[in-house]
Amino acid sequence: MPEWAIILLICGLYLVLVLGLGVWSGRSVSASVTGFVAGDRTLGVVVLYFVLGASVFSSFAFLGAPGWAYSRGAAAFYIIAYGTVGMVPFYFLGPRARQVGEALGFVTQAEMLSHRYDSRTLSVVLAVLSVVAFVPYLTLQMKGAGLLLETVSEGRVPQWLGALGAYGVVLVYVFASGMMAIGWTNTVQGLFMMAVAWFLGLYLPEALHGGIRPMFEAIAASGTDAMLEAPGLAADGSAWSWAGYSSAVIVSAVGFSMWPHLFMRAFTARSDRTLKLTVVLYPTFQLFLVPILLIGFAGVLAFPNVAPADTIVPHLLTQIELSPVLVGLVCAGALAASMSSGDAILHAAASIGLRDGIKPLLSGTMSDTRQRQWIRGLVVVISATAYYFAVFSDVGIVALLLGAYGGVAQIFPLVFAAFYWPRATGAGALSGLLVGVGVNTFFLVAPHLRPLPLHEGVYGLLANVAVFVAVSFRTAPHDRTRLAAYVHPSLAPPVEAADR
Amino acid sequence: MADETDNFPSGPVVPGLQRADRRGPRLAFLVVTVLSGLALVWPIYPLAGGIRPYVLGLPFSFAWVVGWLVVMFVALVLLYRIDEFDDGTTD
Repeated sequence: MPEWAIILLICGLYLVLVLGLGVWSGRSVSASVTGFVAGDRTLGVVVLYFVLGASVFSSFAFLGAPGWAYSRGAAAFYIIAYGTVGMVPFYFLGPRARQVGEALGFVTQAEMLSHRYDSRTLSVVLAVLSVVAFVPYLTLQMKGAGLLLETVSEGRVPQWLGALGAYGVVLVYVFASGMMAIGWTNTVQGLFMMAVAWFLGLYLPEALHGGIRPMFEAIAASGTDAMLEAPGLAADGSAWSWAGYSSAVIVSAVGFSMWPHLFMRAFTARSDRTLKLTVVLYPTFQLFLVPILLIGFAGVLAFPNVAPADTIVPHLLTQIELSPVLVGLVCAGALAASMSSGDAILHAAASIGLRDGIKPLLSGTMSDTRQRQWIRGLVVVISATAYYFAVFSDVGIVALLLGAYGGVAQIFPLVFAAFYWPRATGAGALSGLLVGVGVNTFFLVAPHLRPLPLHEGVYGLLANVAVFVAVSFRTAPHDRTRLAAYVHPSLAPPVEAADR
Repeated sequence: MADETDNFPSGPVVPGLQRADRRGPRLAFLVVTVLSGLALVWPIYPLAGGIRPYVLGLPFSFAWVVGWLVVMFVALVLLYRIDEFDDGTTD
């Protein structure tokens, strides 16, 4: 059997395994919206750990991050830096959100915020923001999967077919089993990608340079030593500014736990303890970025001038003498990285689209069955949209996604104040969010107008907080019964969850 | 429940500091979190951003970032150990 056939066979076996597991996992969960969106609030530590970890590490982990290390050196350390403190707020906010969600029946971030701030408009704005951030995110995952299969099959599987195969599997298991499919498949995918990353990250420096330290010493001695000194290089190869590096770390850390597909996992946890323990263990998942960056550094001297830098991993795989079985396993690991984020985003986009975007706009109540039909319909529509962008269109997807990071960070003040600042009002929250997103977008499209070379999200956050606080003080505070569940869990009156 | 509403906070509520018996550990955790955040950006990270000395094969700029990740992990584990013995109520 030719090598490419063995590699594809292994990738195919992986896809069949994930498909089977995903569809099988839905059997134990109730046929309700809470079952489909939040897994009946039954997830334990192990599954939740992999859901949070694998949802964050997307095809960016196997393509983009090594590409950063390869072309920009120490700049890539920023990916580890923001995750170091980025998850900490979730230790405090997550359990609070979980309690409120359980008491009042919420399954998404926007549902919680629109109740706290008594604003349907806020819910719709958040839904639009989420979907605008998610579609390009999903598109990039599909492109990554397609690109990978095309490269390792030496062009026999074109990108459109690879993306269709991998995401056909995702579509089927998310459609069939919702949250439970994401939980179980992400556990397998997470283990798999971690094993692959550690293997490659330790093997490649050894094989190409005789070890990790010799590899870095060789880079330092080669005249490219500037790339190893913080903060590394900018995209054009010149030294990156400290202002740019530091503000990118801060904005990403603030936004990290606010990504709606990540935040809404608070509602899936079985207990506060489960959620806290997951956050405590999270840095062990983060550590997997170390071998990922080593893979990129291994290519610096061995294979100079690979362009675009994102293709360094597929390039290394095709150039290194490895058994095709191993290459197949590595490819399956990279597919796992793409799919484990793609499924979470698809599921979140569909759930949020219905619960926060469409439902508040329709009058009257909607039965559980009807809601599930809508969410499943949206799963198909959103997959198709992202697939269209991945294969047939080439609008500025990457730019949209970069802008989304600054936009998502604007949700932080709202979530924080929901629990810790009783005086915060709906008018303040809505105007702060809109101004923050507006300022962020403005400086994203007009970077030359920035007063200092800081990340656009910093300006957005400053404007957001200023407007949020000022407007909140000028509007009437919310009624105490509404706030009780958020500020003082012990004061919460028993509430019928039926109306949500 | 009615008499407790007088305790309803009107200003900002500092996370985790309402209960006196938890204040010490929570404050210590907050300090470590802020420190590790600051250590990874300007103006502290530039002081540790060089290549030498190598730590476990990694340039110092790399090892420094990984080191703070480990520090945060230890801090979170300690915080969780303290929380674990509580009665289950949150702050």
